[in-house]
Amino acid sequence: MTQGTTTEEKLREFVTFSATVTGFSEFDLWGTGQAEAYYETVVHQEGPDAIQRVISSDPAVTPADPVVKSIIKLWYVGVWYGPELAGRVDVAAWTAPGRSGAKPAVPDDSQPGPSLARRAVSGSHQAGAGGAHGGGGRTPPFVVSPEAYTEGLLWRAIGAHPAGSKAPGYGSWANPPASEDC
Amino acid sequence: MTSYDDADTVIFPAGAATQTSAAEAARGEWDAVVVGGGMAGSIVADQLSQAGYEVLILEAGPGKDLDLAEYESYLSRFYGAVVKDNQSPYPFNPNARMPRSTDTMPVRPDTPRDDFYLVQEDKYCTDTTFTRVLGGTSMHWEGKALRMLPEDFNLKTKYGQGLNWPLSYDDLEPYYRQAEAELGVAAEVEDQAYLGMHFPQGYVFPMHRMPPSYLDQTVARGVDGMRVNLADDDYTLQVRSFPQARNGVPNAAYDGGKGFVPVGAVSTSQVEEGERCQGNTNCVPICPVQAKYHAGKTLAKALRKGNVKIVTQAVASKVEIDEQDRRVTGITVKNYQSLASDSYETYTVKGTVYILCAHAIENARLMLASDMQRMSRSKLIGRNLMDHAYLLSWGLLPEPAGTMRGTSCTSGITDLRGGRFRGTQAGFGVDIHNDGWGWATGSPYTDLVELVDERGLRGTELRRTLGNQISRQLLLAFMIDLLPDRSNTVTVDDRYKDAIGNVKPVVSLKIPPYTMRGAAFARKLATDIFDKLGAEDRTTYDKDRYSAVEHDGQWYNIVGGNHLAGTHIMGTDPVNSVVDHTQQSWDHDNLYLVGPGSLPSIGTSNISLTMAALAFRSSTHIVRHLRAAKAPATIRS
Amino acid sequence: MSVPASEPSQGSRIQTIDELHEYLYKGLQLEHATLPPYLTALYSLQPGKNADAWHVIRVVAVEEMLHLTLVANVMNAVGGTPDLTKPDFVPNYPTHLPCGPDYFKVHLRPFSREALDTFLKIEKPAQAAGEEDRFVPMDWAAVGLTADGAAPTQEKLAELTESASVLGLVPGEPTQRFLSIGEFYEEIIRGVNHLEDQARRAGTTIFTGDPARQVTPEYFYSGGGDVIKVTGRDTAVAALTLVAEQGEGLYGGIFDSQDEIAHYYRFQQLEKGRYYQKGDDPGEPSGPDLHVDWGAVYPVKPDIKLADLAGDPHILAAAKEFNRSYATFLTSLNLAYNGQPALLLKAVWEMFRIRDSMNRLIRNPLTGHPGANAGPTFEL
Repeated sequence: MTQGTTTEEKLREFVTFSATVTGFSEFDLWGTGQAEAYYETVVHQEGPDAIQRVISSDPAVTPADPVVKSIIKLWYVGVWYGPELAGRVDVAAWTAPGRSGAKPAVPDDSQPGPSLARRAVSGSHQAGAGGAHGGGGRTPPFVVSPEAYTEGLLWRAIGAHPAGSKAPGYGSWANPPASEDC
Repeated sequence: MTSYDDADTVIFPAGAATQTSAAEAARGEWDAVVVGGGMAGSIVADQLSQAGYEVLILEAGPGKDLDLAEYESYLSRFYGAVVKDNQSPYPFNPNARMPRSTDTMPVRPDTPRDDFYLVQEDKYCTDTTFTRVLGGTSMHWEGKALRMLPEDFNLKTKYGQGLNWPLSYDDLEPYYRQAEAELGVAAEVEDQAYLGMHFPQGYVFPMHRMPPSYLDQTVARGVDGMRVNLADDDYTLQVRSFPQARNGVPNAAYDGGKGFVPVGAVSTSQVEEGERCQGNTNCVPICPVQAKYHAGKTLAKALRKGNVKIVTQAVASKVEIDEQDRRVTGITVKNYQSLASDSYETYTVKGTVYILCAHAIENARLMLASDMQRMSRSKLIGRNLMDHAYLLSWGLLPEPAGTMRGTSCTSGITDLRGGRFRGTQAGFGVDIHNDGWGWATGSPYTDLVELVDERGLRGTELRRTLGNQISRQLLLAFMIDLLPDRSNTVTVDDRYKDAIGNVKPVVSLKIPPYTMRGAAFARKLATDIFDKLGAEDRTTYDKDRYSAVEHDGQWYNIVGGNHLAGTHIMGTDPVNSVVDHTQQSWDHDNLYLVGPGSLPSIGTSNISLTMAALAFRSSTHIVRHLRAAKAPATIRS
Repeated sequence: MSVPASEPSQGSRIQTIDELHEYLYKGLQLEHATLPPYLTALYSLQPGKNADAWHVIRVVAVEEMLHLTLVANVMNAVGGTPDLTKPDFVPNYPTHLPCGPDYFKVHLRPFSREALDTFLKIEKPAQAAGEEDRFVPMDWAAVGLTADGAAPTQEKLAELTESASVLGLVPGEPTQRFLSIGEFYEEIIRGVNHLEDQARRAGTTIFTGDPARQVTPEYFYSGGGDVIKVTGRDTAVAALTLVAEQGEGLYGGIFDSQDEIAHYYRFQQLEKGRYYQKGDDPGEPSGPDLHVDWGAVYPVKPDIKLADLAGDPHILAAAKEFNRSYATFLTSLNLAYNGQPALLLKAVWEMFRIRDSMNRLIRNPLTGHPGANAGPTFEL
């Protein structure tokens, strides 16, 4: 893959790469409306070269670059789990819809205080919210924007819809599940 | 053509949440002062206003009209919240805090005081919650609307357990129907007439039952006809539809063939949302389209009549009592300026009668903070705290069953809600959760992390594996009866206060052996059901969690049901109870405590429908009380 | 429109039951023709940023579905057969919708001031001053079909009549159009009255349809008005009146007979930045403020066609798939209107799937058209 020069080319490269690792088509990824926000999130959190680095890394190498894992999860649920949170099932549980239970040991600015509420409404966490790269500190997981949640690809992968959005219609739940070909 | 007079009952009068200041309210003399704008408070206010009385509602939550924009800000906050617990849609409010399941932990002397609202010092902690915004906990309730069984009302006589009610099922039955109309319940009588529950000849529910999910159908194939023996009795199990307070298909036969007009979304302008349930699978914490009933629908109706006013950001802090005649003389509120500031002003509002509708924990907290236990003949304020004990069991079905679709829960198993076994162990209802293992494990996010991070899956393999794995999830939630027990308490302690100096509730709730015997049986039943279905049991209990309870050498996790009740139970005399069968305080003549706190037992139905029925019933008594106290004012509108 | 207008003395151009059926078919076509432009504008709104516009357009679209259902109910009641699956049922956009003094085109385009202006024109109340003003000679030059304004050839006229490329033409006399959609429905009401009077004199009725074909409120309800089961003259007139006035308002007022704000005034709220409430006069809403963010819109390429997508094969495939889904939706709807009303619930599921695939199309940037996004083409 040749290295893109303009932001638009870089963005397209990011989407092309993301299509390979997520298992969804480029059309589907653009269809979320989140490509740009996710691109900026990765750049902001991991630095300007991070995307180029993972794109050019050998996919056969395991374990893969943890940033790739963060990117996959970003597309799937709209949450930025920094590479240092890879494998943290407790953090995943804490951030899942419908879960109840105590919070795990994780950097957290989710409460108390109205900060979370403000951020959630303004929906602009990825830009200017203080990236992790270079600072040395760990970033608590965050939802990129309210729409990032509703555009999560996980729900399509499981033949469902995000809890609280994209409803399938009254009574449709009585039908056998239908999964999309992929 | 249907008369469309009802169509605008969901218009919330613009400015209603802010136009009455606490100062103004304190200058007047109201017929009734209602504390709490949730389900009980809204029903009582609406009923009293229909009888022509002037009603003031005091609401601790933020001063926002219930318009669509406000409602959708809840939704947007939920979408954007990194932690999506059942309080996540609602703004953090330091001046009227709410418990959050994520805050659950035993409070120790060094625990930062801002980390929690519900103070729990025991090893076992409940993660139960209630909500303090306009509309109350009905904003996040799931919307199941079951009646209690006839035998629940005389458990003591029948099985020697718990307490009898001063009311029977038959006393409450007409009010259940009234509540089913108000909440818009979808169910069929033929499904719900079991274990002695009966309905008048010809009754139909306002709407037809919600279609059972494909998952329900899958479970039914294994469960229907399954036999269990319990305390020498045989029971045959079947999967049964739950009554639900959400808009479905109206029953044309309702009300003698008049039919039923579902109530849509609440807003200050004509928005025409809130039609039929669309299957957003998000009843808790928020229905995105307001297909589910919430108290705002009743509240909007009440506020439109003109003789109901509401003061928001007004936290009731003290019930003022005349030491001589023990009548309530006022409610003192702390009226805070904003969520961002802890500055407030204090006012005392006055009425002919006072009705506390602030939910079980807040009603008790307020009375205890007002030193009312001193005057209580029963000393039962804050005692007999109850909540359903939930035991979760989860397994993986052999085939995809379409999990994660439908309302949160459409069906369950209800055959073990009642029976002679209740002499020795708790009855329970079983919910088939359409939303998979989420509640127990944090799926599907945990599956994602496992597959991506641990198994290194990516691309179409990841996509396929996830789909196959999650669509097979089955979570059975056993909702187990918890009997009234004086040692389960809400108390107050001056060491724990919120931002504006109100004491926080201190809760101590222990899960008794009677309930745990039910839990142990439930666990065994779950494994039998999984066997029948060919499902792989994936349940694990963790003894290191705050929800861990040991029984017979086994550890279980018992999680909260958000069905808090019993802190001011009703009974037959001032010594065995806090209120009488009308929910009037035995000790304070002009005080009514309306809400789940009055329930002397909770059986195996979530408390909302029963609470609503009781609110309707008490309203008729409060009207009589007011009529005797004074002539009604003319309706202004 | 002139409501009510059931005095038997008024003449009607509808003289036979077949003509009534033809009018009702054109009614179905007309009601449906507003859906693709409304849906395109609706889904062009970026999520979470234009809630007021979102709700206003959504309600109107839902009510267009109600209107479609009401017209189908009338058609079924008078023994007709609704058919939403005929070739040319769906217009090839942009389509012409002359209304009042205006000759304008209805485009598929993103939400914008221009789109809103068109929506207002579609729904604009226009009441004829007198009987002779109810029909307007077609100005063929104004719609660009002939240079000199003369009527097109008979063949061309027949084709125009069948297709939906000029909406609001008088069936049987396509050289004329109705002054407004209201007058179109007025004519149907007169036809119903005339034919029913005639039938009654002969001891029969035109309401011969099977009542089981009616879509009843169990199957269709929304916050935006109730479906009416049509079984006779009164319910037919009520249904048609609701369709007409829910667009334009009743007697020049902002509310219809079910106390719903008429579409014209719903859209006007977006223009005025304020909601209407009870007691308001037209043009002067006094309810809560509303806010429109004209910029928070995906730049859907206006009147996009499959032919525009040659350079984007993935998008082309998705657009074709969308058109197939839309055809399936119309087929389900048609079955619901043809004796299986319970299938309306299934049509709603398809509607929701269409919503999801429209959203995906609209968010995809086109490589061949910089700055523009894809969108549904509605080429069936």
